[in-house]
Amino acid sequence: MTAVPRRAPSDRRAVLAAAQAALAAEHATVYGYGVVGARADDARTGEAQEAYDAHRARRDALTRAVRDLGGEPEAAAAAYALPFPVSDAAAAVRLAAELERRLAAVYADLVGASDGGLRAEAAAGLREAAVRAVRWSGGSVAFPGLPDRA
Amino acid sequence: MPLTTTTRAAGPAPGPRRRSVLAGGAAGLLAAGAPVLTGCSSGGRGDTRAAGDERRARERQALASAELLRWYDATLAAHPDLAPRLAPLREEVARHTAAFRPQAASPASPSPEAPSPTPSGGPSVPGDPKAALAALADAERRTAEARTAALASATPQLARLLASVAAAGAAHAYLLTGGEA
Repeated sequence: MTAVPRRAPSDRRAVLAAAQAALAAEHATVYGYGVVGARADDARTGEAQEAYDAHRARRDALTRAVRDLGGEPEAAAAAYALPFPVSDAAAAVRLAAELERRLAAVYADLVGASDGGLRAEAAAGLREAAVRAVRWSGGSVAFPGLPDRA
Repeated sequence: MPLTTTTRAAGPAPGPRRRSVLAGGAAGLLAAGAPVLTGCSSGGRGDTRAAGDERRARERQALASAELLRWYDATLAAHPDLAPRLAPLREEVARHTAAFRPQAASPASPSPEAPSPTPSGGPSVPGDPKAALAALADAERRTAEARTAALASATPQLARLLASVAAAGAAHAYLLTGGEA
């Protein structure tokens, strides 16, 4: 094997774009779980806290990944618009499931764009998002993260 | 409540602004990586070989899903009362089998629909329903782990599908064991 880079520059840009998209989505998810934690009923605040912590860890890992790719990590916004009003515990659970479903799609894209350790990390992010979506919603989907196959 | 903390990554302070990443219309932003997936990285003389590798990899995955289907069918045959719980998951596994065989997705191939009687040498299902669900969850988990291991050498398109189906398998295992996974 020669010392040829494994990816063409255009591919590297694509990996970086997908990693930035995943980072932006984790920022949004962390924000969203702030809302979930505030509205969820007592039985589920522990679950919300656990998910919040896990997403912060994934966000930090993606921040490092973007730097490793030579990018400037996408910053979090001060606030995000929610997909629907979240005024009670039932809506909080729906929001949590929705956050995980959207995140799964971004991780699926990162799996396709990347390889090696980043691909493995993205696959783990996708798996966790799919399991959490099921925990929140109670029902599964055949192809988590692939809305084109839904 | 610490959950409401708004966090910022290092870098230039963005200033107060409101992004609609979570709003329905922003699905495009969340899916920003999608266009890269159509690009295939191989080129030149390796193409034929790569195509053969891809075909064999897909076939292996289709067989793994078909094996999982046999697990579902054997479990359903031994425990018909579990049908309401298992049927939706089995249906998804049947869709996985077809997804790995895009061109040969004819209903003629290893019949994803009709539950077949347990073939001899097939899965041995525990007599206790709870143990049967745990065994099925194990089969889902093992299959998902094998798919995850296959990610490293997969083409971008196949990797995306593999990761999604592995994630579905992990979710199935969770549902089968009632959250103890």
